[in-house]
Amino acid sequence: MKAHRTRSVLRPALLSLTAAVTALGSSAVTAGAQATSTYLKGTFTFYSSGDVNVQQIWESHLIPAYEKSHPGDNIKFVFSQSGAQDTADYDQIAASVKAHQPSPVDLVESGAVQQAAVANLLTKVTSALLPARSEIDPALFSPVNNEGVPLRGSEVLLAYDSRKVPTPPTTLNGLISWVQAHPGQFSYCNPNDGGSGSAFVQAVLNKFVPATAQRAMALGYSPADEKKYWPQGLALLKKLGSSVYNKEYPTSNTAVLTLLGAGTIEMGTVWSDQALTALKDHQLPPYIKLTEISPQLVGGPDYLGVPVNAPNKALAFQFLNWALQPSQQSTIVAVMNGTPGIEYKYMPAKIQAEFAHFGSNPALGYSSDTGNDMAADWQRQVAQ
Amino acid sequence: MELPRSAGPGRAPQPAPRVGARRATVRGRLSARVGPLALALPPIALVLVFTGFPILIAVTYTLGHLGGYNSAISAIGLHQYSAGHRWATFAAYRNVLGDPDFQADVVITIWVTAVSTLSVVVIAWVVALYARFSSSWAARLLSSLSVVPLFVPVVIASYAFLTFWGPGGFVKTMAHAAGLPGFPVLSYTMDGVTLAEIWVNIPFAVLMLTSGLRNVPDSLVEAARDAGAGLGATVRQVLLPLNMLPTVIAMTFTAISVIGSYTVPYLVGPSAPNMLGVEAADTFSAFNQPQQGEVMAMVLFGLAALLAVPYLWATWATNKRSVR
Repeated sequence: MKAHRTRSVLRPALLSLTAAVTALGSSAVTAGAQATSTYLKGTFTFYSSGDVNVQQIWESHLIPAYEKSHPGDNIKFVFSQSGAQDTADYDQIAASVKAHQPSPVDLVESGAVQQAAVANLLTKVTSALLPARSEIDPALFSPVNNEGVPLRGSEVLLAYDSRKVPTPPTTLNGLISWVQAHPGQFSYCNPNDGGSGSAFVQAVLNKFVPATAQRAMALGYSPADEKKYWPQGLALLKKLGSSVYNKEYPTSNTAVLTLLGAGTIEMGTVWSDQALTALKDHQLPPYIKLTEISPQLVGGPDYLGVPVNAPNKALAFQFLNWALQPSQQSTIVAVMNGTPGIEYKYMPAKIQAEFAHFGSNPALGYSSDTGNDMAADWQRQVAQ
Repeated sequence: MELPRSAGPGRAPQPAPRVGARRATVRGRLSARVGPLALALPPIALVLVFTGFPILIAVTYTLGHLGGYNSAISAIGLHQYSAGHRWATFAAYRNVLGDPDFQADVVITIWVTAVSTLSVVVIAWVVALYARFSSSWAARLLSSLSVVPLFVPVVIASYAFLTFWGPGGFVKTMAHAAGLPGFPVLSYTMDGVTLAEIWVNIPFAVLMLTSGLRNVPDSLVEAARDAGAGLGATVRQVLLPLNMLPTVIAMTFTAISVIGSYTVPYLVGPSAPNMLGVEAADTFSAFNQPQQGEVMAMVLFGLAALLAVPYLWATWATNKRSVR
């Protein structure tokens, strides 16, 4: 999946300022304060990509907290906006493995992780490397060949204006007929620019793709299946094009939220974490509601991976293990409104209750390569 | 080497200085040639290493050479064409150039470039003329205001443009309030892109032409007036011929900046068809087809080179005239 996550919705600058100040304070304390502790010390490189809220959670919350609680440990954090670097991240890992060189990066969070895992470019996650593995639902490891660590999750939902749409569609087919019956009232963003748009495109394409081929496209690359099964879905999307708002496609995830908030459209596909944050911050009015449709749109965990040839594997896993502890997971849930990576039973009761209705079985996103082709075909056959 | 020995302190034999002088001139001429070259060498080397070499590699990649220095990129890219054992294949070019969507992108790119360049030059001429002939505060205000876009980052300007001209934006809201519900929305249209390109490119053309017009001596303008020429005739027969070079420079640089632009069409333009910069970047990264993306870059490169021809011709002609 091209994980163009949640462009947020601007977490207060104040918060980051506070965190930055704490981080500054912590570096002053570093000198041997915890000489007796048993953790590893050193510096490792962490590449991450996504929207502003992803950058915020690392730069303003988790990394400063980690460096504060682990004096002597430093993280070289490199962030790229909106998944633009997904392919380049993959290239770097693949090229360094191929050349038998140490990887330039120790920890990756990117849309490329799933594909890199399937290509065996990442380290197998064992309980020895990651003690917190036992708290994660084992089923989450199968799509990534045991080589990725789910740290947090979100899914694409249908958002609707409950004043104008009292009974929203519950199925994809219902949604498609609703869109055709209400021209100009539905919007999904350009799949090249946001995952909430590509989730809708993938769902419509998958209507005509058998389950086995869907799985093949999510875990690998099979151009033959694309040629065979996609044309019907692309034709349907083209037809829907005359009914979507403005006959155009907004260029980011948040643009759809803005249209919903302004009352310009009645329905759209959105990321759960992004929409929940906007609702909590009152950037979306309370009558905007979220719902799942069946089959469910793309969602699930956001994976992090450690390249097989990473020079600082142990440091990267130590950090991951720390980030999976319930208190850090609670921070992620509170700040990003995402779902936790560990099972709910390990989370505080309040959070368990909040997410009781959530994310039963979201669809698996297409692999990087399949997603690239989907974006290209959509551009050629739907956008034109 | 024979160096003239001086016969005594302060007294050199006659022929010696001449020889020395000749040597000095030769050495001077040589250093006059080598000196500037040595000065220019570091930047030239920099350009060769960081731009020239990568371009060469990219050219071989578009021609189907997937091995060697291209093996890292070709290990990842989708839908590539390999030359195999032949010296080159044009399959990637055929693939891209034969695609009707790409052709539509080329047409729209050339159209936007032509319209915005012409508009920019006309607007800049008007502003420059006004600033040349009027010393009122309005003229000064206008010529300073027209440089403002230079200080607004293009990203910010594009977003501002989107919200101003968008479906819920200022213009649409005012039109709606005034009872014009059918008023056009310019966000996500090529008309919007053209307008935004004009806005972004006006400052350079205005600066170029105001300074060009300022360099025309008042005496020439007054002489034309004395001879009975009106404003139109003065502009046509005195100011325009004397400002061909700044005009050509302004046109060339505006056109090259528009044809290769990315931010404005990416943010303001529609999903499709859009300008070549956006299409090439999408193809390179979003569709992961680097070979096709680089072919598009070559097409852009060719178009920009064509645009540079009038500029080279104009500077060459001017240099020749000034040498004479």
